[in-house]
Amino acid sequence: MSAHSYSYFPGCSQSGSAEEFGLSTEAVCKALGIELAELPDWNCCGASSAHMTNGLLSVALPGRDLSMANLLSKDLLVVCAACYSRFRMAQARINGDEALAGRVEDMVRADPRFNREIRHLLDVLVNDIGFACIKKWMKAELTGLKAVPYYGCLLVRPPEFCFCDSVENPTDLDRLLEAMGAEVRPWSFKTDCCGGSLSLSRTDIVERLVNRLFIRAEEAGANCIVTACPMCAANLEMRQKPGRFSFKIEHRMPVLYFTELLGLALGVAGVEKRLARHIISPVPLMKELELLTPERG
Amino acid sequence: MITGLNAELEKRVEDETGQKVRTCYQCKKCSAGCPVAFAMDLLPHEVMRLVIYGQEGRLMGSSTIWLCASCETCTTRCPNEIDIAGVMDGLRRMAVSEGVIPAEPEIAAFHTSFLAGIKLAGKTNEPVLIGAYKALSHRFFDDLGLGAVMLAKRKIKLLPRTTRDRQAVRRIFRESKGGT
Amino acid sequence: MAERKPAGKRTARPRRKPSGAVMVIGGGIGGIQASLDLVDMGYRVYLVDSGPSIGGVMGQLDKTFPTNDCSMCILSPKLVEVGSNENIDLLMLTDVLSVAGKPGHFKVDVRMRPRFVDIEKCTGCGICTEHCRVKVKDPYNAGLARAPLIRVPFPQAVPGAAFIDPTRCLYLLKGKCGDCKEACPADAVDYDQQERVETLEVGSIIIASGYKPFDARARAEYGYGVYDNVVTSLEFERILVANGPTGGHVVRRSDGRPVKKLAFIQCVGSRDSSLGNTYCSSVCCMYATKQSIIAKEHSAQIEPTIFFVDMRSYGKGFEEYYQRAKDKIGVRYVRCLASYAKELQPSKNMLVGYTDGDGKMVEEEFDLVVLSVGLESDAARLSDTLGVELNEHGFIGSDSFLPVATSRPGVYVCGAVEGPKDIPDSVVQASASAGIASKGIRSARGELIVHKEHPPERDVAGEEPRVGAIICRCGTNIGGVVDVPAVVEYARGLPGVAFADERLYACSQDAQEWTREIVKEHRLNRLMVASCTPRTHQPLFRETMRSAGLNQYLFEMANIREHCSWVHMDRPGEATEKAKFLVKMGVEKAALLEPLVEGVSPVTPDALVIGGGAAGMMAALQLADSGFKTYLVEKESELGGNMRHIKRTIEGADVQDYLKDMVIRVTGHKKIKLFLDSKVTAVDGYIGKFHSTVQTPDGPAEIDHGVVIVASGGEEYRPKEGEYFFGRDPRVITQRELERRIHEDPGSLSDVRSVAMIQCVGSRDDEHPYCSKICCGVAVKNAIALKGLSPDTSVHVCYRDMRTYGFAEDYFLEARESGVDFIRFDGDTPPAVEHSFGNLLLRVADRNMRGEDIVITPDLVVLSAGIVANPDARSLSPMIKVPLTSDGFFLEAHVKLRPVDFATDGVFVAGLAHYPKTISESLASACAAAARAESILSKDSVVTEGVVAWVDEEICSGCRMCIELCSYVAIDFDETKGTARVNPSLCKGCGACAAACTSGANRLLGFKPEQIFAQIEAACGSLER
Repeated sequence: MSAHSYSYFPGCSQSGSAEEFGLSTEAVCKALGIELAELPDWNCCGASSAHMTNGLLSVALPGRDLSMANLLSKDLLVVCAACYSRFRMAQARINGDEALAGRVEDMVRADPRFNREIRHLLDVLVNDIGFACIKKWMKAELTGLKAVPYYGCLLVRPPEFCFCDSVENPTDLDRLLEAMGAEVRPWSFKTDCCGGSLSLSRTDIVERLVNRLFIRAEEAGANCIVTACPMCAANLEMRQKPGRFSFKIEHRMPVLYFTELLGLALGVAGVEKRLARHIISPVPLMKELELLTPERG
Repeated sequence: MITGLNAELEKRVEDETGQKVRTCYQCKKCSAGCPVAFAMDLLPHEVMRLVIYGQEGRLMGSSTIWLCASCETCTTRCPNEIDIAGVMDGLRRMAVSEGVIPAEPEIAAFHTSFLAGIKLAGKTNEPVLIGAYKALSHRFFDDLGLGAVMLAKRKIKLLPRTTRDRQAVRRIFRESKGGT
Repeated sequence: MAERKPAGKRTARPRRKPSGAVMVIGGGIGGIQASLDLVDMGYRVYLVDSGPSIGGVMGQLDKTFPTNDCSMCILSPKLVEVGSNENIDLLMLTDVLSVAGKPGHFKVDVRMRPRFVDIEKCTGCGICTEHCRVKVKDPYNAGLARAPLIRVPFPQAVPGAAFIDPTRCLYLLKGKCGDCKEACPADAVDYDQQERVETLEVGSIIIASGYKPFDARARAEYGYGVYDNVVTSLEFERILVANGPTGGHVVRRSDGRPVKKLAFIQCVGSRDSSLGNTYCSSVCCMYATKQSIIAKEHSAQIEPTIFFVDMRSYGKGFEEYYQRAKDKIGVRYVRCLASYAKELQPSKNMLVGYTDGDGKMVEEEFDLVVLSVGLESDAARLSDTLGVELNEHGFIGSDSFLPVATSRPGVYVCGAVEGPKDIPDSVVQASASAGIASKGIRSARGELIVHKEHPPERDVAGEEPRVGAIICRCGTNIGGVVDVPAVVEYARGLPGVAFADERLYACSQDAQEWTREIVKEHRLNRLMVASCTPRTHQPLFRETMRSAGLNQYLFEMANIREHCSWVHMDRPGEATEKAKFLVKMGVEKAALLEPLVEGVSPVTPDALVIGGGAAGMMAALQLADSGFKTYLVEKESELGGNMRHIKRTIEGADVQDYLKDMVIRVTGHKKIKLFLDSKVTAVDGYIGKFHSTVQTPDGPAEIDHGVVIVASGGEEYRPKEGEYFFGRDPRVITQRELERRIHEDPGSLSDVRSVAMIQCVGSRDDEHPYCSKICCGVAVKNAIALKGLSPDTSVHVCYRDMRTYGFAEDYFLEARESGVDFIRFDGDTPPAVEHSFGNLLLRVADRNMRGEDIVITPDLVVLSAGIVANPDARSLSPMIKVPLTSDGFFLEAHVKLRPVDFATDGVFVAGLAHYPKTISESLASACAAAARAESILSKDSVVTEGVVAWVDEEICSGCRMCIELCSYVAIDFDETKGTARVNPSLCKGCGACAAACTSGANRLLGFKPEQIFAQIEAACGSLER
């Protein structure tokens, strides 16, 4: 199935605090025949901190990665929502401003003008692979899972970079979850901000935003939140009631990456094992719903 | 009271960000939808007014420009197609490049720490980031409990991940100095 | 090889007379008004609509602002008028395919889609609808309810016949079902009807096709189409209507529970660059206010909140309406465009986020959110077909001075298809376009008009009353509840009844013929029909009387449907008894009816126009161009009025050039007699027969005329001495002076580096509570011009609400883009102008900065002074006997539907005399007034109604109470006889005078005391005969 072959930018959190996201991504892609060629020697995209303090830096850092993607002659796949946004922004700015492109080229000593597409995994799953194919490969249905899909900000905004079917009421993740047999609970807070990079510096703000999201998720009758952004997941799990020596978790609703659920549905090895890595363990819920296979539990 | 109205800041913002702030007609939709507005000293629509009034000091010294989380909700919904988040970025970057003391030192410290980490290693490493941040912000005792749990769950990798060609990364930092 | 024409020979082609018909495309209020005006002026009308009936959006509304009139109540008389007019051909379900030819001689191809129901046979009984198995979303109910495929579009529809929506009809698609045809008692269903293409010859075309509402799904943050409890304003209007999908109960869509907290979000799809609709839709601020008020009327517990940007209540009566809603009725206005509407689970309540004026962030729960959607153009296809240009927003492009002219000669436009506007403005444009459309075909006036021929009227004087009583079944509407045979039997035994019978449908074609026969056969001299409401059917039966050779006033109706069977459906026995009483009352009155005469009053085909400003000149030119001699009286020594002081329109058109042209045409026109330096000092008489005195420099002139057009204008408010230092400091001027300087003396502005403008000077205050409508546009216009002269000059406009409605909003955007600053202040804390070391200092509390003071040092302060009524109006008003509003402007007959008429017939108003307006609005109103006047002048005589009041001189004591009561100024005092005298030309037959007359001298013919008492006695007595 080499029709789905991409160069791949994992992003920093995929190997760090969001390791379960990274590993499940790779496992799921392998299972669906999506070939990933990791960019050799990539660097951090700069995330929020670069673009918030230095515009040129925020374009040049991803620019280096884009110049490497150029060499691989494939579309670039990104999974972290923040990285995706930074790459799309950098590509648009470089390709739209020749003076800037020249400047970045000088800085990275390679051509940063990436003329292929930068795709998000969710986009590829929904629009390229398609639900019919996914269903064919599924080994288990996620019955009993009442999920609220949480897209966060950067998957849908700014609108020119949004691949979802709507900026305000996207349903791509919803439909993927439904295709996997989960029940998607209707709720309106899919694209509300979690506070993003304020996680460490203004934890009070993130605390307020995150708790609000959990309350709404509970009102919606959900038993889990499904996300596509490591920053959102981190904030949701870790910032409900931050403290010094202890931190409280007031809403014990597991926060899962969509790739982990896809991994479960596809019966991919290793996904279940890493579920316990979550700060809010989803294992009790999975056990209750009998979504863990005895051999793999 | 606001006196000394001038058009200089507005011009600089337009040069920086390409945004024509003056097309704002004060519908306040940006402020109404801003998730962090509750913590801001100036609301987004007030930032627009102050740019038009040329009140540079007040804007650069505000918490608002640091608190903006770039969620882009304002930009998406503005009926006049103003990239308000972009204006916030522009003002903040101008403040950074002019060395204005940030009203939110912890946030600035976070960005500094984050970028220092990348400059050092090419990739983000949590221990480096957190260590640097705590040092800069003096918030030594925050999140100790959380840190312990994350370590236990192997969410914090003690071995740093690096880009081999760190020279290239450092060159990028060097050559974008002063770029807003 | 080209053919060579013989040299020197030119074939003379005789000028063909133009067609005396006009095609009006669109049957909304604009199309309806234009059609009626055209027919009145003597032209045949083809009224085309793509839907099954006329009525348009106005027919879907519950109430209209600012009078809160029931929309259908004020519309349906017009629907009936159009429907019953033999000179208006209603072409429903019709599309225009192509137009060829030139003005006066257009050939229009139309495709008439099949209705599948024979209009001649259908009586609108509704039985077919009950049998239809397939339902679709009902567009009349804005998609909120489902309706069967075969139906009468709405109860008051004209034509009042059913139609079949063919999209899912089982018979038409598959040959199955056919239940409706079987059920129809009138055999009116005809599946074999085919589409027809016809070519119609018309002299002019008027486009009145209306608008389509903005699709609110495009502003996805409000969740329309996703969440149940978010509706559009048109949907909410249907919720408010008593016969709407919720029976008039304001309930939520998710669970049907009553609404308590109601939110309106303004500007959805308007003033929005990101969507491309940068213009303002003009009506949403007002309709949201209206809907809030009406919702509260439905249920006092409802708490409406309107989230808005600028409150655009700029029209006549609008500002007072808004203030009342805010201060007295308790509608909450929040000046912040809500950012989102999110649904809460499981309640399905809506969460709306906004910021209050003090900088606090609020998230509030509401039961229902209404999106005030804007008006979009639906004109793309028509513009292609008709070859007329669209403007940048997709509306039919029009002339900047005369908004009813399109880019194609002979094709005119009116209403919302020209640009978003409210009902009064649509009506004005409709009358204006009718007047202008008829100019080019003037020579064909009357050619295609048919007059019904009637047999001579039989003289019934001296005969014993022989009443024919017809009891109608109205299908099952009456017959399903009332025991009709029993009522017929009862009627037969009543004194005076010579014949009684029942009909399935008394109004049907064949019933009319049968009625004529029985009148002849039984020598009936009066008719009493017990059926439905006279409001819709009286004209029809009166027509039947005439065709039967009887005086039409010898006819009485008893309403045993709306007043009986429909309201007592569950009590058939009692309903039957009540029907008998109603019949008895009807018969008693019928027996006492007398034939009434319609008077004929001659018309002097000349006009008097008071005021030689823009409106006056335009009205005079319109009438003069139509061949009517017009006297134009102007008090100053030159023409032009306020127009002399305006240099450019907001679009940049040269006003002085246009004015010059106009003055040349007026002074040179053979049919205009111009009086300058003159004033009207007396106006006597009535419609068709006025006699006035004009004081000219050469002494008094006496003129006879048939109509009066009041165009006496208005004035710029002169700020008081010292108001913002006006009059004390030469650096404080008004907009008029600024405009003069910009265009005539720009050098005087070369040292001006900073300009501050102050809006609402002399408007929206205690002395002048109304909004002067144009000042925001003027400020924007002059600000742009200033920036054009000197881009580095800073221009600050201090405003309360920016009221750049309609397409003027684009100029507001242009002003901002060119660097003009807009600072919002509160009415309670207006800006202060001070002196500081010889400089001017302006201090204004910026309400968008939580009231923080902004200090500006302007070199020039420009006051946007409002428009006040011409003080001469106070003397003109009693002279012409027309009323003024409390603000001194003239008060028209009806704010919505008769904006250029007065209650007094034959008198019209145009321009600023009516209310502040722009030049193009003034010109349009002048054309409208002229068209309405023309419909009188083009006739030899005016027919006066038969049902009028009449004073018995023998009994009248001369107390004059009736004279004071009459709203139509139809009664005057005969000095010699010492009695009151009713002018039947003006009397409308309302009966107020007759009711008030203590001596009984004043009676309403057709409703005389003895006739009324007979009915009362019949009602209060027993059924014993």
